[in-house]
Amino acid sequence: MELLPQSREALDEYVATVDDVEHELRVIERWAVRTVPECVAMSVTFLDDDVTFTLVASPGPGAAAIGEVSAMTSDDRNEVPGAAGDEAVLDEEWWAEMARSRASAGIASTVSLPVVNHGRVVLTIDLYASTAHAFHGRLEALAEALGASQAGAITNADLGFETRRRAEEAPGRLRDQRVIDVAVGLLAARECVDVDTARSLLFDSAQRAGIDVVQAALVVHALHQG
Amino acid sequence: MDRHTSIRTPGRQIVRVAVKDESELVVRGIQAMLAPYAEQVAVLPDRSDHPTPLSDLTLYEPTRHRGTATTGGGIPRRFPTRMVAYSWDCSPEMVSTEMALGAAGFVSKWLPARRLVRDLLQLAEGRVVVDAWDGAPEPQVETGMAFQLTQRETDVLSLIAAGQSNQDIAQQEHISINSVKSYIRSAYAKIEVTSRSQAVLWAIRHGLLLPTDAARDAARVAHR
Repeated sequence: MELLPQSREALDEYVATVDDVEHELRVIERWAVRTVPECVAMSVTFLDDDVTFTLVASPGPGAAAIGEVSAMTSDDRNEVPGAAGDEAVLDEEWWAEMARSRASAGIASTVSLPVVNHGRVVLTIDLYASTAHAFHGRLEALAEALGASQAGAITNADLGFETRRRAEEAPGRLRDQRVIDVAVGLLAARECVDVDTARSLLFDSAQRAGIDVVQAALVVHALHQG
Repeated sequence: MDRHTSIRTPGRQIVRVAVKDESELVVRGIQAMLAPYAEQVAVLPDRSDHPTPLSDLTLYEPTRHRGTATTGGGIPRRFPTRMVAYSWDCSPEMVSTEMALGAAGFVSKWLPARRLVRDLLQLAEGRVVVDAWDGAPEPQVETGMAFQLTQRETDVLSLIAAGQSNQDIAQQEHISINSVKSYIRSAYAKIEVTSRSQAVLWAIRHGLLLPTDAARDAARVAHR
C-alpha cells in the first residue's frame, strides 16, 4: 500500500511520542495484510491529536483507485447495475446508488478496531477489504496481531471510506493546529499565564468575537509582530 | 585600530538612540558612557513634554511604562521607532513580558558600554537582541548551555517559536524532516515541555527569538 500524498505531507509535520510514525504504520499494514490478504486500504487515527493517516493499495490496470471519488461521465451511467438509460439520470435514488458505488470503489467490507492503552482508546485502526466477507472469522486474529480490542470492533461502518477524507484534511488541520499552538504560547507570555489558561483565553475570545479560533490565533501572531 | 572603533562597519550611518522619559542625570550618564562611540551611536533625550526626536531606536524603562493586562501593556507605541526595553531588572519574567509585549529587544542597564553599543547596532539593523546580563561577576551561561541544548536544538526551538513548519525548519537548517523531529523531541525533553505551546512560551522566556523579519515571514507561511 502507498501513503496518500496528504498523509505523506501530514507525516512531515506530525511530531508524536513515537520516533517514526511511518514505521509504525508499516508495521500495522504488514500485520493487517498478513492476516487479511484482501485488505486494500488502511487508516490509522491518532485520537489525541485527531489526525488520520491513510494507505491504499495501487489499483490494478483499468480499475478505479481504491475509495476514490471520480467525476461521473455519461459512460459511468451504463456501468451501474440497474441503470436504465436517460430516464435514470432524473432518478434521485439512482444518483444516490451511483454515489455510494463510486465513493467506495474497490471496498466491499470494513472493520474499525480501537487500540486501548491504560484504559483509554488512543488509536483507531480502520481496515478496508475488496471482498464482502474478508474479515469474517479473522477479527480475533486481527485484534491480537494489532494489539487492538476485538470487543470494540465495528464492521462495515465505513464503506464510504470516510477516513480517507479525514486523511486528506490532515495537512490543513495540522497547519491550523500549529497556528493555534504558537498563538497560545505567545498569549501565555504576553498575559503571564500558563498555556492552559492562554488556550482558554484564545478560544473564549474567538467565541466572543464570533470568529474562528484560527482567525483569532492569526490576530495574536499579528499583534506579536507589531 | 582603536579598540572603540573596531566594531564599526565602514560607511554605516550613526544610529540615533532616544532615551524615553529618563532624568537628565540618566540621559547625560548614558551620553557620557557612549561618548567614545560617538561615530556609531548618538544618544538623545526623549521626554513626553518635548517634541519627539527623530531616532532609530528608543530605549525605555519597562517599570516606568508598565500598563495593565487590559490596556495591553506598557510599551510606548506612539513613535515609529524600534522600542527597546532598558532595565536593571533582567529577570526572565521581565524579559519575557517585554518581549511578549512586542519590544524589539531587551538590554540590561548593567551592560558595559562596548557591549551595549554592539547590541544597539544589531538592533538598529533589525535584529532582535536580548542581552539580559544582570551584572553578576561570573559570565552568564547561555540559555542553551544551561539546559544542555545543542546549538541545533536551540535553533529549532527558535524557529518553532516563530511559527515555522517542520518543512520550513528542515530547509532553513539544511537537515532532514526526521532530524527536525528528532531535535524537537530531544529539545522538549531537555526543557521539560510536552507541547508546542509550552515550547513557544519557554523560548520567549529564554530569549530565543528570531529577527522580526524572519518571524513575520514564518507567520506568513504558517497559514498558507
